[in-house]
Amino acid sequence: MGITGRTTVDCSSRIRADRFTTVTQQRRDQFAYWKEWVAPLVDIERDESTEGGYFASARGHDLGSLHFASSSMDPMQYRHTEDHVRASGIDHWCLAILKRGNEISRAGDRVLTSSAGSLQVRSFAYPFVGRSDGTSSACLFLSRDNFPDISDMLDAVHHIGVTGSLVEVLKEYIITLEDYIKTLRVSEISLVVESLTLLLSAALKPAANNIGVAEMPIAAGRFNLARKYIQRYLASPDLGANSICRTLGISRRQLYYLFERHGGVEKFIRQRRLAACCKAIADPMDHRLINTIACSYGFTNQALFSRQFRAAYGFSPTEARAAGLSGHRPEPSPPKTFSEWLLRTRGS
Amino acid sequence: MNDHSGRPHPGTNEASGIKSGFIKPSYSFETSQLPLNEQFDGYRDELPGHIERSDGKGISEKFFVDTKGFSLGDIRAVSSRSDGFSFYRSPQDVKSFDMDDWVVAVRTKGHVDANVDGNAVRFQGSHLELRNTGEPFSAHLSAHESLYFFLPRKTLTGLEGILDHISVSEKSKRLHPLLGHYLMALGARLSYMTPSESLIAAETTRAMIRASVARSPESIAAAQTPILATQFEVARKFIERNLGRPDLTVESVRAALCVSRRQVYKIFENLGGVERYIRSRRLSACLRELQSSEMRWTISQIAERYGFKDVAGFSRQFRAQFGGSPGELREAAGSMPKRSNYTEWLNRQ
Repeated sequence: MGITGRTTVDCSSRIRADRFTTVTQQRRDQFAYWKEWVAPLVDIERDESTEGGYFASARGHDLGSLHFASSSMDPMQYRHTEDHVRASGIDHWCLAILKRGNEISRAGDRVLTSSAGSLQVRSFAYPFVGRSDGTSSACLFLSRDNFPDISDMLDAVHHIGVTGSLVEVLKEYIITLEDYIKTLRVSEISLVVESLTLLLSAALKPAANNIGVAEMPIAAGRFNLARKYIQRYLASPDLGANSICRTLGISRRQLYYLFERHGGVEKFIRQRRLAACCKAIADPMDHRLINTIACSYGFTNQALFSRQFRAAYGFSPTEARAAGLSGHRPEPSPPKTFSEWLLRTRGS
Repeated sequence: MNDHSGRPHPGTNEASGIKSGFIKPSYSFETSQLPLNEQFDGYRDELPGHIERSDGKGISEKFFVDTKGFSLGDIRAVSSRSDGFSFYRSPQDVKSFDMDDWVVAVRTKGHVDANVDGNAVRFQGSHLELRNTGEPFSAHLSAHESLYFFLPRKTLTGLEGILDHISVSEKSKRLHPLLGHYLMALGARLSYMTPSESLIAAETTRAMIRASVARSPESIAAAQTPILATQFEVARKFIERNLGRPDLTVESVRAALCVSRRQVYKIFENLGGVERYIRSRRLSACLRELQSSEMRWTISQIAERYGFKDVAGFSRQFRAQFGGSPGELREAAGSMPKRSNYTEWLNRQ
């Protein structure tokens, strides 16, 4: 096993580091091992001339709505294909600071050349290809559902070299965080996520304003439209399969397929509503009663709300308010694959 | 006093920053431009308070200070390096300068031992020091490199109660160190910011401070009595707007807040009562008028404008608050409660 980790649930506990490395493998198996690990995300190849071992190592921290990873790896070529976009369920954004090495990649007609110190912004909702020499980087993976306010901005700067003084501030913050995260506690996650969101927005706003959002085609088109519609009308009592079908002009059957992976559209809506409740309940500046918050998202049955909330997050609404938690329950077991880690699912 | 000391350098105002792409310091003070024997005195004139050397050297010996101030929207960001000194701002200084900002400070080098309730509390590195500039303050600074961010009180509405609580104790050290690291990273970039970035930086800094303060242990504990703090803030603003109105009374404050008279007294309990608070704010307003350069109004006219009908009574109360008669303080306006370039710059809208 290349993965080590321990189980944690307590709020004051440290966040588990999930580690992955090829050094535990036989030299001849190392590349294949790494290739399989990243398979849900990219197809990788190495230069034909290279033989022998392949070094790759990563340390990851699951912060709920975002994932933090530090990694180092030998040279490789990679492809994130249409098939990945369709099949993997991974449509995260990845922000990476290259700390060592060089990389060049292409998405559509956008070419991004990176060297030590560069910040890369990528969206896994689009295909791209690239190659890198030996690199080390600090990466943030942001899940699409949890950053609705900055999603257009992040899509706009996909595969664009972003610069500016606020980008420098963001980079320094991420590098500080890379060090700090080893001692980070579960109760601090909400502050880290909130501050990163603020800094991302500040750093990318100037670039995103210049580009305009409409230029990038949305690969996961209908699903994304449906998702945006849901996020926008989350508090509306009329939100449901009927209103989505009507707005998007699709049939019930098509809608069913769109949300098949998420266990159906009703379940998806409920999860997003619970997430919105959780965020509001944990917000120290929101003084509304828990019942009032629940009610504003259509949860009129208190007992049922508490049960569903606990099922989703592992703690009760009252505990969330007391501790200022915001939707993060560390997964009890380490992930077996990259998908499991990023999508916060665990194989049964 | 040195006329040429801390005046913003020609051509380094905010407007010229647009031409060169980056914002320029809108305030600058360097002792290296002064003769050796005027360096310490120059800085003494600049700071709103009293300073003494703490390195045992005489006041006419070399004293190093290099301070640059940048305007990020309504935030004043100050990057300052200097030799060590002791600083004291008395209650009287506070009244005459009439500052009412939050200041958040971090040290990239050196440390500050601040006097907090009679105890020396050390702030260094990313330990956040949060204070209200309207509070008396004393501290010993080592040779240091510091970043100060001055935020007008109005920019952190809703948090005043918690901030007031944190700012008079060492509790600000418990704000999350990541905020300190953010401020340091921002401080290092002040000279490389475009005007539009500086506005985004201001907005982001406010939000970052807000997020950290809201998640501090104090804030979570204080969440039980948020109403009192909010009501005080509303009342404070109402009073500030209506200082010149003769009908500004407990009753009009009560009506503005839509609460009971009893509640009004409760809100101002810690400040010695609402009447006293209003009188003190009115006296401060009179002092401002007295010391403004246009001498158009007589003392009794000014007193009357702020509802003091009896001039003798006004003088007595004025002396009790400021330690001098209205006439004395008006005459001293040119020299004593001088507003240095630094203070002027901090208060510029």
